Amino acid sequence: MWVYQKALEYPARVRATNPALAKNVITQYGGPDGELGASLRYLTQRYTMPIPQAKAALTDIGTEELAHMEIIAALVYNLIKDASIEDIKRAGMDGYYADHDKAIYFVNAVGSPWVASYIQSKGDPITDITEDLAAEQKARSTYEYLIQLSDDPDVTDTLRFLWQREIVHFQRFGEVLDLLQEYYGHQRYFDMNGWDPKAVR
Amino acid sequence: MHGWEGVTVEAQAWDPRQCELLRRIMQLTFQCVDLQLFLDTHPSEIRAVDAFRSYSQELQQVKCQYEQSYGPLLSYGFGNLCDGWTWIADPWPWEINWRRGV
Repeated sequence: MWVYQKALEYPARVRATNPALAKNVITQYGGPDGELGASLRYLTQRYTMPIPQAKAALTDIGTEELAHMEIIAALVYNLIKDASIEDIKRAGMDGYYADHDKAIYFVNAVGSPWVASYIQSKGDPITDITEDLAAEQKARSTYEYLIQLSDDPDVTDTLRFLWQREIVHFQRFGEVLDLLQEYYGHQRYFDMNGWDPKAVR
Repeated sequence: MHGWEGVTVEAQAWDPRQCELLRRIMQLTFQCVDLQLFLDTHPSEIRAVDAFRSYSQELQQVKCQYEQSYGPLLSYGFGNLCDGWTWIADPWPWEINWRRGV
């Protein structure tokens, strides 16, 4: 089960109402490389992991991603809560407003809703951890684009914290991949000819 | 630790003592989160286990201090009650707008 701690992982800050920025930042809530997808991907991949380090890393990183989802929600909430209808129209957020008012919903930067096909759970631990490495890099790139787009230094500070976490997670998943390769035996992994994964495991 | 130092809340918004304790709890929690991830793939690194233990103990102390005045920080019986049922009390995490100090 999960236990809620009534505090953010990081003191998320917003300097001023800014629906135009919110419209972009929300992609890390419900976009293809966002925190919802990250969390659900890791938490659902952990069941078929063969070694304790992989089960622990997916559980703990998946849980941390839930905390990041909450940070993104706090940013978006505070960026739009005091916006007028005029602000929202000027920012091009009127389409979002028509469907959600100022509620927080899982969409990407152009309004497409989150879909489960953003993530995979393949049963092959090497395949899954390799996906996770790519996912962390895609999220890191997205944070870099958002930092370029941000005109609020307090939001930028929070985005920089999340950006750093993607780098740490990438490092941890790299270590998990090494441990898995050690577990299966290196030589089999570079001899793909006639390789039968069921025979290996 | 760039983001935690010198962070306060706007005057009049919420109790400054509560927010300062909360800020310290957030900082210590993060130190435990980061060390926990490291230990997941380096379980034999005794120095990291010691660091985790030390941050965790300090976190428990500050958490107890917070909960004596403001009630449980954690749900489902993992926190300590003070007077009455304060779990529902504002502020919720997304309602605190943190500021850089002067």
